[in-house]
Amino acid sequence: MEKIKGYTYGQVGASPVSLADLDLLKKTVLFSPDDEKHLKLAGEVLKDQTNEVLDLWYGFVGGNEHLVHYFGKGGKPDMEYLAAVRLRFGQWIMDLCNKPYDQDWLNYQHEIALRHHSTKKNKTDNANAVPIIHYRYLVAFIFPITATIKGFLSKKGHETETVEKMYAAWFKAVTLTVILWTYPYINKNEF
Amino acid sequence: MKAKIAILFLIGILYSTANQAQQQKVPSGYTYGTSAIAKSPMSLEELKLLQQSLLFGEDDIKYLKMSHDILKDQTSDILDVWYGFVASTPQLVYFFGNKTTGKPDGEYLAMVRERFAMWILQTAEANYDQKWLDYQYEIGLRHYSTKKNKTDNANSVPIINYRYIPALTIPVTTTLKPFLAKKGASAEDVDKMYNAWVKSVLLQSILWGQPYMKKGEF
Repeated sequence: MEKIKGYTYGQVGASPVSLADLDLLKKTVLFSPDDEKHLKLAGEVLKDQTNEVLDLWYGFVGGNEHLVHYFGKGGKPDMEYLAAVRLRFGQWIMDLCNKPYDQDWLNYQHEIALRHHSTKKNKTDNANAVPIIHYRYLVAFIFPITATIKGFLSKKGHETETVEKMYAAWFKAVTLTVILWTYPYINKNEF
Repeated sequence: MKAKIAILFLIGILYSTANQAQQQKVPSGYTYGTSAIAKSPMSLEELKLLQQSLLFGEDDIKYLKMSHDILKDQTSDILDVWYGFVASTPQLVYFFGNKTTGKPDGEYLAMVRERFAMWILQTAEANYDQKWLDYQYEIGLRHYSTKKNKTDNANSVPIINYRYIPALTIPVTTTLKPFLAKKGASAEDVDKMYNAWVKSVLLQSILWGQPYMKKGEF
């Protein structure tokens, strides 16, 4: 597989969130072994559809000026930046479904968090864009990237009930992940 | 006499047009729309963009309103389920615990519960105007160290950690779905009401997060 520029899974600093805290958070979002199983299945279903998924998500971002704003400066989107992020975004879909949620995964969520936050935004791709993605849009994005996935989950002939279970697992996984991405935005000791 | 009748008439109109959540017995500390509430630091214009980012539209308002009639006499049962979940989740019940003994503060839990019922109705009424926006800020502050415990004079831990606020979107909306289905709505309508609820709860949890954010990063 071709190496994705800036994709450094397994080679990043430690997350400030402990595995024990992650476990409590998983329980709070009702994330169960059954969800893990259905996420794996979602990974199978989505693996040859990531391009279409990203077309849809990029279309949504592109159609909202206040969102595309974060990929450029002075109203001009940085196309190279958008393209570089896109490759990692595709890998993120696969990682969300397939990776075990262990220390490496937790650490990488923190790295992704820093890349949305002013700490590391633009650095990976040397992009010419605004210095931070605001918190509110990070959390808001949970909904469009969840709602739009259902159509793709149902494309491989699975029963409605199985699609619903994959969808519910995806929603929980995305919510869990985005919560971890908010860490750098939050005042000390308040996360 | 005429003036008296006119005043009574006016009161009658005001009372009947006041939103339905307000018509019930107002719980202690429920200060929606009163002068006790500060203005949200967020503008209605920014709220609109946030709603747009959540794909929240007119249709969602319609389905939230539809859910109002379905949920209005079920709030106590819903709260039984939610409180049951909190009670069985030690990392959540902790936030209702007495600071000294660590034991859950029953009185505090009971006071919050009454306002929680109003919150269900207010969410379903979906009148997301300036008053509503201001009250979301107030709710945020009441989860945060600025105002936690103050409304009920509770002797509990000083803050609800941020991460559990958006996390609760899932148990709250997942457990709500069966209640939406209890009054004979079609599966399609139940799904649409559920989706509108997910968006609204997510929206509110974002707003409640405001006090936790570093300056300029909300």
